[in-house]
Amino acid sequence: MNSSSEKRSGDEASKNPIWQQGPNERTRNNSSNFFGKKMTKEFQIIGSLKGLDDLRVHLEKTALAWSLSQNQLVEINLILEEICSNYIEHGESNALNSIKIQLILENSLLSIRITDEGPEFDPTTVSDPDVHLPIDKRKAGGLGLYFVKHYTDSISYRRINNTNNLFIEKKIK
Amino acid sequence: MYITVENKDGSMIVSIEGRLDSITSSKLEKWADEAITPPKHNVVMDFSQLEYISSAGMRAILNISKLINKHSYTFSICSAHDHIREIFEISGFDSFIPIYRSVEDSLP
Repeated sequence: MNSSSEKRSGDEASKNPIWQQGPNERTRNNSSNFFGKKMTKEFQIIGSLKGLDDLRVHLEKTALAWSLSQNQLVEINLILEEICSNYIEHGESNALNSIKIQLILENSLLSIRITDEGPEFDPTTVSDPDVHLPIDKRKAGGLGLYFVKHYTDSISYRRINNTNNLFIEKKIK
Repeated sequence: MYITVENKDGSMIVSIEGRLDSITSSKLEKWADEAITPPKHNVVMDFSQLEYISSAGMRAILNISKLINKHSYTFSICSAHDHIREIFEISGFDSFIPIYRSVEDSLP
């Protein structure tokens, strides 16, 4: 049930259609496409640990195609792993459910939409852990969404047609 | 994720290579159950080959740190990449887990 697509838009793409480019040229154009052009990547992962491994592979390919730095890739992977693992653990997602991920990069702003078919769960309502507690009072959980808030610029949640939808924005410097 | 263990000056140096995430953190917890329960040395985790850590990995690190401290040994990390060190700072774990620049710096 994996689907994947990559779209390009903008002037350069229409002047120089993708089917007229060799593989090397296409890679080179992608690397100069960082600013101004709208880049889109959509894929689905299954709601299991295997899905999280597929997530890593999808993101590594996208980072390469979009010329993202290693640090940017690490941060985007962290954001998505934390959200998806949260849905898998708390949202009762399973291998039959899929989580749909859409990434759009335009003008240095990365917009992420995560759609999950599990029961209603709004991660934005989860309270932050107290990161100043001493070790014996620290609990093992709760850090994941705290990392997501740290590495993103905005997060909002909407329940649409029995699906959980999380909208995230992150400036890519 | 690969775990390599070496004893140096009475400390156990544990090198973690690869990713410590939702998929691999159970492997580290299983290793801790077998290799350091109960701990018999101070433990230093060498993160020079660690590429990525998420909250699942930090959960394993917290549990290991608690286990070692409970037995009056020390737990520290060394040689972490900047983005891994940043995760420790955001989590507040740097207030109770010493972070050293190198294996040598971590030894008494």
